[in-house]
Amino acid sequence: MNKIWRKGIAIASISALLFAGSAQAGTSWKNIAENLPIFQHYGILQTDTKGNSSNAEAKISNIGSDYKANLRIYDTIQKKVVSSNYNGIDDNEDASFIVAHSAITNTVALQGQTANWSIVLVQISGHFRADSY
Amino acid sequence: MKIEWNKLLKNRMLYVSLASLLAIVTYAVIEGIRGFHESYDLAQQIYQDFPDSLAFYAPARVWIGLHANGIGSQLYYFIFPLLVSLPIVDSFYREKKSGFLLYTLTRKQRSKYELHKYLTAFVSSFLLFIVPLTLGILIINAWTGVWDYSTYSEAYRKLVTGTAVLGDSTSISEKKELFSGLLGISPYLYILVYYVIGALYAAIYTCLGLALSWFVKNRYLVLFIPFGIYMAMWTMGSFSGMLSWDPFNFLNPIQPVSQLSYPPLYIVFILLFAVCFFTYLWGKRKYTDVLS
Repeated sequence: MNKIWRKGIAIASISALLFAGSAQAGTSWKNIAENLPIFQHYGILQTDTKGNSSNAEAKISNIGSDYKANLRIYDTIQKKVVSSNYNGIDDNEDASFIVAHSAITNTVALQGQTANWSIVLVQISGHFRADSY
Repeated sequence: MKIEWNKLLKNRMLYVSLASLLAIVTYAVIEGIRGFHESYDLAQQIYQDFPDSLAFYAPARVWIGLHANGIGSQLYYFIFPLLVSLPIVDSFYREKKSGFLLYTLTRKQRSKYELHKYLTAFVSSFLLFIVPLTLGILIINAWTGVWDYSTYSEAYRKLVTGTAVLGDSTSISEKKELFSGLLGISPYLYILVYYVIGALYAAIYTCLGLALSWFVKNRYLVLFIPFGIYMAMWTMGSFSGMLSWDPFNFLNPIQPVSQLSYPPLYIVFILLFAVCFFTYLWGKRKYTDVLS
């Protein structure tokens, strides 16, 4: 009997841990430390799993030189853009994205491009999370 | 002056340039309208309760120069020094090479001939830059049926004063660093000022190419002088980090870089004008014997 109890508790604990982990997946901040590609191509800055219908958020702490960037959320499973663009983000600016419901449970990517054609790679840093709560 | 215009109107390159500029504008318009409908449909769902946010999703957002990620819009601002100057930048070179210059100078004062040439180059480049862009606005407005942007201006004024009620995803970077007051009056006024400044730069690039053409012995090189100068400034600006002093960035109405200010707009223009003027004087002195 004890063995069964122990097994049960162990399974329940592991499940709880896993569940908690997956529920937290989108809400914890992930670091962004990437380069924006040249000629205004989009680059993937960070990915995360979308867990619910809350907004995705990005906090941009620094963009190289005086460049500005355009950001959007891309669904890597459906292979389509699932938010409107946040254009012209600058240093120390936060962006919040309303994301299409179809992206829930999918892996979404924060994509970025420079606000104008550039011939140099532009560094961008900050944080991203797919779910605000 | 009339002779210069007649020569220009008979030049096949004028029509090649115009056709190329109009092709870019057509592409930018189609791309813009498609982008506008997509973003507006999405905005309507998202910003049902935020009219101020929705007001920013106006067709003016995709006018050439204001389309944030429009390839056509960016391409126009990338390549204009080449296309606006093509019909006239090599005219000194061609007329010198064919002997037409010597023929003309036997009948006309050299300074008068040159003045007319520069004026024609300036005005034609100005018009070549601004006319296709204006057509772009007219087509976008006619296509979408939106001509009145008072709601947009009102929302913008609220954004500036901090009284706008905005939904998430509304970029506060909608707020412009330069000519912000004009956008608050009307986006037409704002874009007109930018187009005129762009056209003045287009004109001065052509004149600079014309002045430098005295020193260049290859026609194709002459044709690429204005574009080459523009690209050189872009390269220098990009690698030095002085983005706000680079015409490719500060002429763009979207204001794609930060730290923009008014002085570069006129200082760079005055510098280009001064270089053009002194190059002209240098060329005039150097080739006086050949031509007189």
